Amino acid sequence: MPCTRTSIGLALALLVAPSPAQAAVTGVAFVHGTGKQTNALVDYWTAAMVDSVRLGLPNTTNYVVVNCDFEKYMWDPAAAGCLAGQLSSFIKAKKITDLLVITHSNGGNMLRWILSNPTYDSRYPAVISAIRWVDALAPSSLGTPLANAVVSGTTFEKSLGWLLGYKSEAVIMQQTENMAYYNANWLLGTAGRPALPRDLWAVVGTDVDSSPFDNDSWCGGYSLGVGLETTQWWLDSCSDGFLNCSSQGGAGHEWFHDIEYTYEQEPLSHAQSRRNCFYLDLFLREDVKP
Amino acid sequence: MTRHPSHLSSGTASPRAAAMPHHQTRPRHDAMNRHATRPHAMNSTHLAFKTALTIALLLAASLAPEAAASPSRSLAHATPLRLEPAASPSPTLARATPLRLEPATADDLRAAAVVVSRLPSTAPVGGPVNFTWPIDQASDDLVARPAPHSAASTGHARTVDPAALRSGVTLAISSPGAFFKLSPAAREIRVTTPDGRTLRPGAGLNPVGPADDLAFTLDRDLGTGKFLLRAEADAPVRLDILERDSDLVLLIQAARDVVFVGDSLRVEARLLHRGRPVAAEQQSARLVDPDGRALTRRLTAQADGSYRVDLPVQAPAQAEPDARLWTIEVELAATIADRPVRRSATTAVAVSVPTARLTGLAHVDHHRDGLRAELELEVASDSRYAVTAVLHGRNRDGQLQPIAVGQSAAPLTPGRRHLTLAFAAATIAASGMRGPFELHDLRLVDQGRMFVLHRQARALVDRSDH
Repeated sequence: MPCTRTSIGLALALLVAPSPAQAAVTGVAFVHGTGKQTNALVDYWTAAMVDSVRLGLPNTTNYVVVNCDFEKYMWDPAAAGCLAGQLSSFIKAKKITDLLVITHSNGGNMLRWILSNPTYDSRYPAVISAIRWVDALAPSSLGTPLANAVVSGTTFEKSLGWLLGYKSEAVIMQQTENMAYYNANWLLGTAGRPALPRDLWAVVGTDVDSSPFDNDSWCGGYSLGVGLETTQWWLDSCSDGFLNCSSQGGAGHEWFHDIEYTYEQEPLSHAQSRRNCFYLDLFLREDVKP
Repeated sequence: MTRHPSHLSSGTASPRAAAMPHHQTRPRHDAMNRHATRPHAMNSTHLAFKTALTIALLLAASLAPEAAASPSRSLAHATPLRLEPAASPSPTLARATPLRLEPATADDLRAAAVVVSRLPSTAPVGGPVNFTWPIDQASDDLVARPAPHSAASTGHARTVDPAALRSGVTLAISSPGAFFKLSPAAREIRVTTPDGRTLRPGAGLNPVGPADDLAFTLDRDLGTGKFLLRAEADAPVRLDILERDSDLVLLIQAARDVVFVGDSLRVEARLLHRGRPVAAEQQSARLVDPDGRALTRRLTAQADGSYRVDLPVQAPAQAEPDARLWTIEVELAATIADRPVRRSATTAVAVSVPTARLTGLAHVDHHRDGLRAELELEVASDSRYAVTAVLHGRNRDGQLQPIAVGQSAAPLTPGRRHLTLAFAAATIAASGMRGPFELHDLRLVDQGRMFVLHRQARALVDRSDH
């Protein structure tokens, strides 16, 4: 197969010998969690969060907020296929060579699908090669017992709809036993499995403050955290109201637990770990710097 | 909200810079790689040298000659594929060393024969892709035979109809302070304690939070026993009971997480009281396919205190297995130390149709460009197939160490076909490892149907002269 050898040689030549004067072009991509987003900048992340993080870029316009259908299974063209398409377009349009990917929740699984299955789609290799690393905010790497409950018929407070939605493919996928299967067979980076081709660094949310009398509960929107006290009954003592800490730190490396670095050691609930709460945005801003 | 605006307006200044989680910080816990250190921010040079990522996009027709005549989709499900004569290695591997895969062990997954699938392949259209990357993991960081998921439960859930709820549903409470939750169809909830007292929301039934008026905890001093739940409802009600701190735990595990359709799946269950197996009075297991069709069987007690059942994995004639997982539900009831116990737990299994298999023939070519292993497949249904394996070499002490992950995929049509894993010489040299090389954790998947077809812990040993 002469093509194989030629391709390897070309790929190596392209990657191994950049001109010393050639500066990396850094960009950042925001990848949302479960849900079908059409305006994730407003509806999922908020402009305040995105605008704060991208201040760390040399060129603050080098960012993209992904909008895909993450109600689907991760391998669906509307899910990881859509994600690869939007990242590819961004990389090409902005000539990005150093891509920071910030994911939240199930968005971490979407990225991990691409990183674990680089041959699934011919667009994946170029996306992977551009990535510096992935900052996974509260990734649902080992799934959540709440997904099990929802799939088996348990209903939660309506305000948690953004989190658990209905019995979508994404919720089915994030059941703990299903994620165990995917981690053992289709995804890399969990204990006992080979490392991903790019590092994934998890930020772990450890608790929920949901009292209306606690100002900290209001960061990110009080209504989004309502009901998380009920969900805690399905979860370990260390959780962000949606995911056990063990799930959030279940793939890649743990970067930090929220209370180690957040303002006044405030925990980040699952609703807050996608918002500019307790300096999270500033940590990410530092991290995107080349 | 007094702090929040200050966060929003914090500009470019970094708060508590000394405490900032920085790139150089060594992670405290690694899920996958205990040797990892977060690298410095990378530039493109780092990308090349730090990770030595090797990408080979096989965009041309390296496998094109194998893309033979289009397959027939009219072949019925379970039609065995006619075997063709063994294919010769591809031209570049014609002088390579012919090898055979190691014998599969009982823990490996290997199809004995291939079967045509009626299910369409849905993988993205694209040519062959080959991708390898080095890994910096110790051999004991990798588990090539992953244990199937094990589920643990200290609660149970069920759906009850309105009539049953009106006349009273028994809550088997084995641990003081239990939590229970009903779905929104329920109203006028009251619970009768074992000693005859009636509890109502706010009067013995403690609301968990303001957001959910159908979730309660019982006072711990009410103890354990059979409580009677009554409520009005116009539709079936979902009832969850969680006893988080209970010393009675149900563990369940299937023998495999992937089976081929037609196989039998063994499921084991244990009810543990303070870590020791105890006997159950009722026990059942249900295998539920993705469309909800269920097969229920009783588990049988084993000498070691566990319960076991073998479930036949059969698909209906008109419903071929697809990417969706099947569910195994186990429910046990018992009386332990005069406490009623009810537990339920679920796990999942993937059901594959063996649309292709590795024949066992391989050719390994190891020279200046690196190491390539060409694996022969017998393909029954056209799809995009991928092989993945971890290349191992030997360190100075002669011990096996992982070097790199290789993955190769291509669209393949029925017949004898090949996929080639390619590991660049630079990657091998950077690892410092020498031969004899081995391929571990070899997997074959049908990417277009999400079927896992082959999984082998120790698959290929390159015994050629180096």
